[in-house]
Amino acid sequence: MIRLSGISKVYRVKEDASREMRDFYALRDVSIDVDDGAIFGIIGRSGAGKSTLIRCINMLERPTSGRVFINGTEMTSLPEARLRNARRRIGMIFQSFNLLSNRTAFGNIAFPLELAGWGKADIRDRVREIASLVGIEGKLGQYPSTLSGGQKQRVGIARALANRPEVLLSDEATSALDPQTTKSVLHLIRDINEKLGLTVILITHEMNVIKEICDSVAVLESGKVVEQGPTLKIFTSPMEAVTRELLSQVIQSELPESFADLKFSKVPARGEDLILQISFFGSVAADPIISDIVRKFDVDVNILAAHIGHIRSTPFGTITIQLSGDEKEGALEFLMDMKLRTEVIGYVARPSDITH
Amino acid sequence: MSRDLLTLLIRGTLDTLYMVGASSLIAIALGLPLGVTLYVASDVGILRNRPVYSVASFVVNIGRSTPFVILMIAIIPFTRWVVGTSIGINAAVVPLSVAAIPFVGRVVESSLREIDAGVIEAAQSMGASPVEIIRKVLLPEGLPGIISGSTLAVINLVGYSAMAGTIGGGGLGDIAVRYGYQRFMPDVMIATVVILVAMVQAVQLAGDKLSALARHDRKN
Repeated sequence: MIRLSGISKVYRVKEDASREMRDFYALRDVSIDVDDGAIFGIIGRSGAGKSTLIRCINMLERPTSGRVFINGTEMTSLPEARLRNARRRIGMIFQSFNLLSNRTAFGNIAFPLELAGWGKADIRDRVREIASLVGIEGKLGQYPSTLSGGQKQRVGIARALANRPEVLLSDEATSALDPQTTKSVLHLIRDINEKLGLTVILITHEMNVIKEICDSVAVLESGKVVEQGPTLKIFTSPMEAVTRELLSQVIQSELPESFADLKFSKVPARGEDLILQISFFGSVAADPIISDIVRKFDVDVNILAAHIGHIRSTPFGTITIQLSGDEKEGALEFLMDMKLRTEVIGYVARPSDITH
Repeated sequence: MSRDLLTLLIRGTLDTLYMVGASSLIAIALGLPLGVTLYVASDVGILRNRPVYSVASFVVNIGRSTPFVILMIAIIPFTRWVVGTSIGINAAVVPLSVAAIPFVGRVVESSLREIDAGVIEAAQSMGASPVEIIRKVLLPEGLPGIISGSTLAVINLVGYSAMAGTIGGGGLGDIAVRYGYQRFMPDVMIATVVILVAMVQAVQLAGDKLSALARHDRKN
């Protein structure tokens, strides 16, 4: 179990205008608990404090206040020498890979083992073993400059895992990779999380990364955690504006352009259509909701936008519909009663180019 | 050219090689730790230390800004204390080394500054101590740059050694002055210049080759 409790990081910065020193809070009272074996994501826009936060876990940055516990060890109170030992139990991977350019892939993976005092023969066996786990056994003799981005990150992952850590920290590990490579590296991280049972904490600015592999997520904004919970919950009922904005990277729920200039009212009016956004997840996603309401009520349904995906193996989706007809209210009530998250966007006069 | 002159030139060449070789080794042996100190104590280093950096940097700047001819004469008491004399090729090695140490120091410092900070951070995240970072990250990663920089230092020393020759250091510079200049023997003068040029070319070629062998951070 990893526990961050009340972490703050304050820098003294010089004010541009007045030339006076003031405190800048990179992190403000951040508390996060991560269960053993979980993949925990921290998402935020650039400058939100993600990098600082992940570096506070292995003390590459020392928090100004607050405490960090990793499996019962308080990292924040360790003296330098013992901290180095503790760091050997925490693997870390980076956006820019940070491989030693003058060592081969083999030499890079061997590096943490040399630091931990392993013998030559043991190092050789372990490097081969871990290289085959991450799928780069054929590349061990190559220098990083001759490897592709995905291969470099695999070497980085092998290096991070070589000394059998309990925790893997990932600092935007896929941000420099193309979408296809990102997917395969994320799946590798999930595989080793399952195979080795190690806890993963990752930071990212891409909701897609969270969606692919994270069990839980914390949303960081201006150094504060504004929202955290299971990934599915954050995806289906985001509370904060910043979360919704980040979600819009993966969920296309925008209304068609013809609706952009229309006025929505919250109260029903004669001849106006009802626009709804419905989020669903789990078993409900398999239910034929749309045909149900059409059959049960005197309404017409027009789908304006829809997105369906999976979070780990749970289906989830968002759909934006336009209801017209006499029994809109009944249909709305029916939807509200189901295990769905239905949000009323508003009533709107039919745009002429939609009704024909 | 007479046999005697030829012997003289060969002798002078060997003397120059000795002076340059010995002072290069000493300069690299002492300049390397100096450069590492400058880097690790600097604002971007792993053992940031303002006072150490300021003092080291100040001393290096004095060494670098003193013209070699002046330095050579100014440290004669020190030279005498070290080798017992201020004349001859052994005596010349002292000022040559003293002049090259700060140069190598700066060259090493700037090579280390080229290393991506992320690589050092990665080593720290794996629990590397400062000494391990210096031995296993900074020096191997900085090696190509250190070799190119040291090549420059050796080439400078070829030039300086000719100057040292003029105040009794021996070597090709000494021959050029005594025979080429004072006895009006242009053929000797030209011969020394040709040998010096060939020496510099050889050093540069060898340095480039070694640096390329040590460099793996780009595709070839």
